[in-house]
Amino acid sequence: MTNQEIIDWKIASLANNDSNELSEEMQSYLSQDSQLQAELLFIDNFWTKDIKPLVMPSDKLDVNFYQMLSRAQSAQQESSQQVTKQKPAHSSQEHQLPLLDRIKAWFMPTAIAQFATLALVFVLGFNLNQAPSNKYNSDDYIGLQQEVSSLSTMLAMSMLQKDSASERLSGVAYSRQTDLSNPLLVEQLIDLLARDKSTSVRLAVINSLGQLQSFGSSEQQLLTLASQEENLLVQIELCRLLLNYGSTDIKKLLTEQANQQKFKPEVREFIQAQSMASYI
Amino acid sequence: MFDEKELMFQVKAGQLDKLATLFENNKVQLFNYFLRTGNNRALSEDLVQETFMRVLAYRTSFSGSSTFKSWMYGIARNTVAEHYRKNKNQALNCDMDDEELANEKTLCEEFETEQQNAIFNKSLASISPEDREIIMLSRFQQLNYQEIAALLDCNLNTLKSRMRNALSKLQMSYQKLVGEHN
Repeated sequence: MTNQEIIDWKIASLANNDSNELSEEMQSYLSQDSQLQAELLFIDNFWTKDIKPLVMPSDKLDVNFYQMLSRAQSAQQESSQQVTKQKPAHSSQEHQLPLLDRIKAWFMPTAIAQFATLALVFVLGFNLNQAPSNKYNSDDYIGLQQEVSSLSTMLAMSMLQKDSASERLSGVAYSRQTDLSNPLLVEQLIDLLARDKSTSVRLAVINSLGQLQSFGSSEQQLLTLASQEENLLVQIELCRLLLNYGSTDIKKLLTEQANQQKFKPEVREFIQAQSMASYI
Repeated sequence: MFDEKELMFQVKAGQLDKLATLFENNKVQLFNYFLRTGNNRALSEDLVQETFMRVLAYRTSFSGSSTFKSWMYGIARNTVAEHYRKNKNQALNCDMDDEELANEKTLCEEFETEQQNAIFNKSLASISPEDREIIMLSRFQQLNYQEIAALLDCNLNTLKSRMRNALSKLQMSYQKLVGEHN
């Protein structure tokens, strides 16, 4: 019989609400050791007194969680729809090269992404060794690719909402790991571009939006943002984005606005130089 | 009563809505865990959110070899550790927050029970974060020895010995504070 055993019994009985009585041997041992008695009394007091009542979190926690869950669900839904669309159209070889590039791109410094990615790479390796035919491998690749894209989308959307600019920047970086096919993510990026206080974040968003194949209905919104922007650097980068990747109509509108002197002289000069360069 | 492990397997299989049940079951306890490890309210809420985001992101790694609670608290510990690694300029969670420490007034003015509780809190805040964590996981988060051992990656006997040491330090700190108070 040792003190340790009696203390273990005490904690177990308190933690598990176990009502096992102290054995006679324990009782006689305990009665001879006043220090141990004091120790047990202290543990009993500490365990049974409601010294720290539970504090309830605010409603904001629920709101944020359910927003995150809803975005994850929509990302999951979209990715499963894309898998259905893409399956018959592509051969296995077409998927292997871009996937390898993607695997390299997954190794970003953030620990969350690293951990999730390593888990996926492990599954990928495991599947490669298990499945005998290329066709099955290809299906697995597509599934994993979608899983990564969905994960990155989810991480990006969550991090774009963070208070810290560096975390929002990480969110923008994650958005670059996706093909920006999720309209909610694009919407969130444009919203960030319109209201974020950090110039770095806004410039990163502009850079990220350059990946879009078409701005679609957001094009007009980007033009409005460009014309109303007060930060010269952001304004120039927005104009560069529209001039490089925008539709012909939007480029025309932008040039017209520059000619009507709606922009600052530096921006007008930039737009005119870009337009000249495109003619050449 | 929900079988949390089964729910987590369903989340892993793609039924993401089941995560809501796990969140509702655990959010208050998890929030209080972060508060008790010395974080303020806003940060504790962010950490709960971050933990569940990771539960979702790492869902495929849940093997069921430990309970869901044990797995979730493992993620929670990593989340808070990573937070402090990233924000090195912030005070590490070696002390409870100011509100809890600055209760000299309470000690003198409140009733005896409240005084005793305040001293308990203060002595808990005064021991090392490692000792405090073991006590908290057992006393407040109601994890059993097996779950805590899995979470801290140590064997049961080591854990029991660490628990006893931690309680002994807590008692010493408590007695010292009672002596000072008297």
